[in-house]
Amino acid sequence: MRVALPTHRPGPEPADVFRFFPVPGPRTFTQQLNRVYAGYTVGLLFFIAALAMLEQMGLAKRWIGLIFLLSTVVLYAGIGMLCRTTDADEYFVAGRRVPAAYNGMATAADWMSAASFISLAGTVYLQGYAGLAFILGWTGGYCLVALLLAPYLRKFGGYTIPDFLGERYGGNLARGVAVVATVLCSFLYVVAQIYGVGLITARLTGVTFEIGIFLGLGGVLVCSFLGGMRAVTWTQVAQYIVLIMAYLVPVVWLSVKQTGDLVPQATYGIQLQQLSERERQLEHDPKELEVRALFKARAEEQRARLADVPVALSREHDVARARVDALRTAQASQAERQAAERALAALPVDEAAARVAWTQAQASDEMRSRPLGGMPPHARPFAGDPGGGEAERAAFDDSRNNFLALVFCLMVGTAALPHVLIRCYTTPSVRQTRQSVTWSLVFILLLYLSAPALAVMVKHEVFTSLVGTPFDRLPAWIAHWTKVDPTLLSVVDINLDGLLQLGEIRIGADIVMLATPEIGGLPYVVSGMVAAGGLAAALSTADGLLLTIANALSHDLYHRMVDPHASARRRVMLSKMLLLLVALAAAAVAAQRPTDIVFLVSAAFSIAASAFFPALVLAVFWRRANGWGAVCGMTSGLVLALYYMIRNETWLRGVFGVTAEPWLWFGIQPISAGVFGVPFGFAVMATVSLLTRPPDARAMALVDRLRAPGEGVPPAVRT
Amino acid sequence: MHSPSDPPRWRLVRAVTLVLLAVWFGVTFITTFFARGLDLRWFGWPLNYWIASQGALIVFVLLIGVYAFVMDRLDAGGAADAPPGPGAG
Repeated sequence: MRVALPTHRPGPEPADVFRFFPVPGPRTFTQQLNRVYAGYTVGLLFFIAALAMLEQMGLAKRWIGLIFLLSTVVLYAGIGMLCRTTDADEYFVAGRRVPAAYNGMATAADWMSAASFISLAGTVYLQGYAGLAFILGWTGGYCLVALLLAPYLRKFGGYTIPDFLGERYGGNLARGVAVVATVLCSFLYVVAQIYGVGLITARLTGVTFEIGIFLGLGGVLVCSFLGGMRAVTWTQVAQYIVLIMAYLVPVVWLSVKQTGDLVPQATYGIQLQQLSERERQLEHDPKELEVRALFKARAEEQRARLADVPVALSREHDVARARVDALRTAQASQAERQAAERALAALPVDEAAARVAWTQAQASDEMRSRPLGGMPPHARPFAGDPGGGEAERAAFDDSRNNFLALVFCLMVGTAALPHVLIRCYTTPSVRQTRQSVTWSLVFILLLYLSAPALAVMVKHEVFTSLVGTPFDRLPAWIAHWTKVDPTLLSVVDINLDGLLQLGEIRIGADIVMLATPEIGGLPYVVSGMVAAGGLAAALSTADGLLLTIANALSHDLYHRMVDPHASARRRVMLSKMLLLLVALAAAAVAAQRPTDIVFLVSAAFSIAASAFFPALVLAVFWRRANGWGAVCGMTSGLVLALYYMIRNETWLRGVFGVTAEPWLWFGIQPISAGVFGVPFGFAVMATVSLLTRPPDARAMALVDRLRAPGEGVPPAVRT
Repeated sequence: MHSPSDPPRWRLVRAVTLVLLAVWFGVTFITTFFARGLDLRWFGWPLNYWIASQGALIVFVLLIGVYAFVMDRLDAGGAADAPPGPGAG
C-alpha cells in the first residue's frame, strides 16, 4: 500500500463557480486526493484478498489478526511520517486546505470512536428503543454544529476553541476557563479511547492489555506527533475507509445470509416484526418461565446472604471446607477434589468483598429473572405503561424523561466537543465548511443507519435459531467467545434440560459487532478486518483528542497567556512535547482500568455541553454577551454538571469519597447532567452579562465580522 | 436579542436558522415525546422505531444540506447587489 500525499498548495478557490455536491474545492488538489485514496482503497482490497488466500493456505488465525493490526498501524504511522511538518498553519489546522468531502470524512473518523464502532449495535441489542438515544443524539448534534457554530468558527479562522472564546470575550480569563474545560473533557474521552485500543488488541490478538495500549499509543503518536493536524487529517481519511469497510462488509454479508437482501438498512423492518412476534412467544414459553423461576430463587438466596453478611460468609466457608475434607476422606477423584478446593478459594475473603460480590450477583440474577433475560421488548419505546397503575405511570415518565435528557446532552455535547469543532477550521472557505458538515453527517450515517439493523439481525438470529438449540450442538462462535472473555458471552444450562433458553445466555454489548463475522459464517480474515476497523475508530478519535489537548495547552495557555512572543516553531515544538506527555498520562490512567467506560464518554459530553455550548452560541447570536458573562456562565455550567455527576454517580462517589445521599433532580440520571448544566450556564451568562458593562468595540467588530456575508473581511493581522 | 440596527441579511440568516432549528426540535423531541402513541405500521416498520432509527437521521442530513444550499445562494446573491436592500421576510 503505497501512499504518496499531494504536496501541491492550491491557490484560492474561484468564488463565482457554483458547485454543491460534486466535490468542491480546487480541482487539481481534489483530483490528486481522489487518485491517492482510490489507489489506497484498491491496495487495501488487494491486501485483504492476499490475507484471505493465506488463510486458505492454512495461516493461523492469531497471525492474521496480528498482521492486520500491525500493518494498519504501520500504514497510519507512514502517512504521519509523510505529512511531518513544523509549519504552524500546517501543524494546527492542516494548512486550511482540506476539501469539504475529505474534511467530512476526517470529521466522521474523528467523531466515531471505539464506542460507536464496537458498542453501539450491542447497546441497541440490549436496550432496544432506549439504545436509539445514542443513535439520535450522536447524529442530531450535527444540526447544531452546522447551523450555530461551524460557519462562524471558520469565518473567525483561529486555531483552537479557547482561541475563539478568548478573542470574542476579550481576555485571558475566558481563554483560561476554556482551556481547563477543553483539557478536562478531552482527557476523559481520550482515556476511554486508549482503553478501547487496549481491549480490542487484547481480545483479537491475544497480546496482553498493557501491550495493546502501548502498541496503539505508538500508532497515535507517530502520526500526530510528527505532522499535527495535517497528518491527523490524512490519516483519519484513511482510517475512515478502513472502518466503514470493516463495518459494512459483515453487516451486508449477514443480511444476505439471513434474507438475501443487499441493503439491510432498508429492509430489516420485516425482521423487526418477526422479532417482536418471537418476543411475545418467548415471554410465555414454559421453559423460559422455568429458567426465570430458578434465577428468582438464586436472587432470593443472595438477598438472604446479604441480610447478614458475616454469618453467611462464615457459613459458606464452613460448608466449602467441609466438602473439601469430605472428598479427601472419601478418596474422591483428583478432579473433584480440585474443583472443591477451587470453590473454597473463590469465596470472598472478607466481609466487604463478600458484600460487593453478592450485591452484584443478586442484581444480575434479579435481572435474569425478568422476561427476555431483562431486555425490554425491542421496538417498544420507554418502560412502564402510561395507562397503567401509579408505579407503571411513574416508570414510563421516568424512562421517557431520561431518554429525552440523554438525547439532549449527547446532541449539545456534540456541538461543544472541541475536537469536533476544530475540524471546522481546516477547510479552505466558509462555504466549504458548511458543505463539509453535510458530508460528515452523510459519512457518519453510513455506520449509524447500519448499527440498529445489525442489532436486529443478530437478535433475530439469537432469538429464532439459537434459542432451543441443544447444548452439544451450539455454533462454534459461542465456545470461542466464551473462552476469550466470559463477560462478553456466557451460557449455562441452569434448568439442566440440555437445551439453550434465552434466559440462559448472558451477553455483553461488544459481542454483537465482534462476533458478527462468525455468526455470518465469514472467513476469519473478516474478523481481522473488524478488529482493524475498531482500532481505526479508536485511534482516529484518540489522535484528534490528543492534538486538541496539546494545542489548547501550547497555543492558548503558553503562547497567548504566558509568552506572546514565542516563535511559531517553538510553539509547534512545545505542542509536540505536550502531546507526548498527555498521551503517556492517558495511557497510564487507562492502564488502571477505570471501571466505567461508557460513563467516561458520556461524562465528556455533559461536561463539554455545560461548559462550552452557551458561550459558543451566544458569542455569535447575542451581541450583548460579554467576558464576565462568559466566564461565569462557563464556570457555573461546568461546576453544576460536575457536582451533579459526583453527587450521584456510583463510581465517582467512590473516587471522591462522597458520603451524602444521592440527590436526583426529576429522576434524571447523572449521565445526563448537562440537561441542568446547559440551561444554568445560559441563565448565568445572560444575567451576568446584563449586570456588567457591554462588550468593547473590538468584540463588537468581531461579532460584525462573524455575521458578515460571504467569507467576510479577512482576519486582522494576528500577533 | 433583536436590535433595529441588525442588517437585513443577518435577520434573514437568523430566520433561516430558527426555522431549521424548529424542524430539528420537532423531529427530535416532539416525535420522541409522543413515541409511545405513534404505534402505526409504516412500510412494514413500527413508525416510532423507524423515526428514531432512520427517519430523524435522514431529516438531519437534509436540514444541514438545505442550510448549506440556502446560505450559498444567499452569499451569491449578496455579492451581486452588495448594499443589502430592504429586508426580505
